[in-house]
Amino acid sequence: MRVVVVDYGLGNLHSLKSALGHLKIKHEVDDNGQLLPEADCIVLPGVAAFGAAVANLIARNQFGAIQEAHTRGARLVGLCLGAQLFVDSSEESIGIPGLGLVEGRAVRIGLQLEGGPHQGWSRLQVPDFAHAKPDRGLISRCFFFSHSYHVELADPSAVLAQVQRGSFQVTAAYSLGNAIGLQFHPERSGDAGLAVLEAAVAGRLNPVPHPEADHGLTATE
Amino acid sequence: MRHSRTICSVFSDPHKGQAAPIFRLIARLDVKSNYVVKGIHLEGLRRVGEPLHLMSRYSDQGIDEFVLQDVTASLYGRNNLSGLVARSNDSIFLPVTVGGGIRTRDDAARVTRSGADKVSINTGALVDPALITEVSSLLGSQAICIAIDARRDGSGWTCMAESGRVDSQRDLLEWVTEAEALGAGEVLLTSIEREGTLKGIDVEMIEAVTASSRLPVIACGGTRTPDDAIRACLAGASGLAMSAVLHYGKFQVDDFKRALVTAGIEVRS
Repeated sequence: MRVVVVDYGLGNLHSLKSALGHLKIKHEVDDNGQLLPEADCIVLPGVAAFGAAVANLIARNQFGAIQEAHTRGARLVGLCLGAQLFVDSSEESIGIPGLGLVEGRAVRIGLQLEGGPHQGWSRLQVPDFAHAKPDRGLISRCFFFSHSYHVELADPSAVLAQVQRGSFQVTAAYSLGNAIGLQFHPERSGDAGLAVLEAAVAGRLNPVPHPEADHGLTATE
Repeated sequence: MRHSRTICSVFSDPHKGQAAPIFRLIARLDVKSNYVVKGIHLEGLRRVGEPLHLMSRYSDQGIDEFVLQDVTASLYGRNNLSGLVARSNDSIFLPVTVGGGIRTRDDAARVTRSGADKVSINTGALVDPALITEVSSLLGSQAICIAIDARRDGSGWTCMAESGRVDSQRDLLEWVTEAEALGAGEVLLTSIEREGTLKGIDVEMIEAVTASSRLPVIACGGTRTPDDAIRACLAGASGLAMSAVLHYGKFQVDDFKRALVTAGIEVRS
């Protein structure tokens, strides 16, 4: 399986590469879109603002290449901002289109409650309505979050896990077709995070695979 | 009543509609010339260990997060921790905030690119508050932590720049409010009077800040015993940053977690 990490010149690429290396997942880094057509699994990391990330993805010929990879069925794993870039738009950068792989939008979480940014460790919960049941042993643990926006999906049943903040639910993980979004940082969440990262890249995060996502790529290298 | 804010992370207060993330225990490492140093009131620095060694030790003990502060950055005019951050990434998979000498947007981008999850900015933001907005528009506000070294000043507190040496003449609470409006995502609040003294945290100052801001506040300075973690949590802090108490082996991370759990406060397990 060919795993490609998208480098769009912002954010915390090094920690993701280290985590993949620690997991012995062979991977390459793309900084100009050219490796993406060959990728079986594309990992889109992110510590950045939505608009800045989109601008860089376009400038590096990665934006369209990611969309094409999604269309041909490659597995796409978005981490933190990466999970937000998969949807249509974000309140963080009004008027800037996202990748549009998953119908939805990123909305500010701070405005719905007086909590400000979601910073720190939170325990994930699997909602009853999730149709893509994730492996609870993997996902019902504590993970590190650092974000002010989260994804609202047009199809809520694609949500794999949430974090409860009072009456408000933060989308912590989703899976729709061949796209997986993780709002937390698996590469920074200790052993629990490494296990989820490995499962997401291998397509084992939700044991019932979507037909269009299953290309027989069930194991890491 | 800000007190109920953090308690509801435990008891889920329906009136506030608020559940904070799990209370965080953070190891703060002040780094100078490849050594972790520790002083009192940010002065008289002594070597206490090697950074990767201490990070690995605290990681094994169950620490939730690291703050790495380059205390010589202003001397050299730049942050010099990129190499350390990159090396630590190979074996430690926990969040790292890096501070010291970050004066421009590019400085912040460089530090995050080397593997930092967040940057903390003190003097750079006091000198040029617009830097907060510039960094947050590039990296997102979640990635910018405003570090404040506060000192008692009359009935309030003043913010000190340049590692506690220069009084910025800014009132603590006004500065927190301004920093939040400009796009900061977190506050690392250090009491200079308590820093390095092991005399206990400054609960009054923490309460004043958490009552006037929605930003997550990390309390820092003076932690003496695990009870300080409970007091910080009850004062509305999101986390407690510790250095001397861990460096000198007075307590281990696990001692803090046990005390929090006993008090009914959830910790990362």
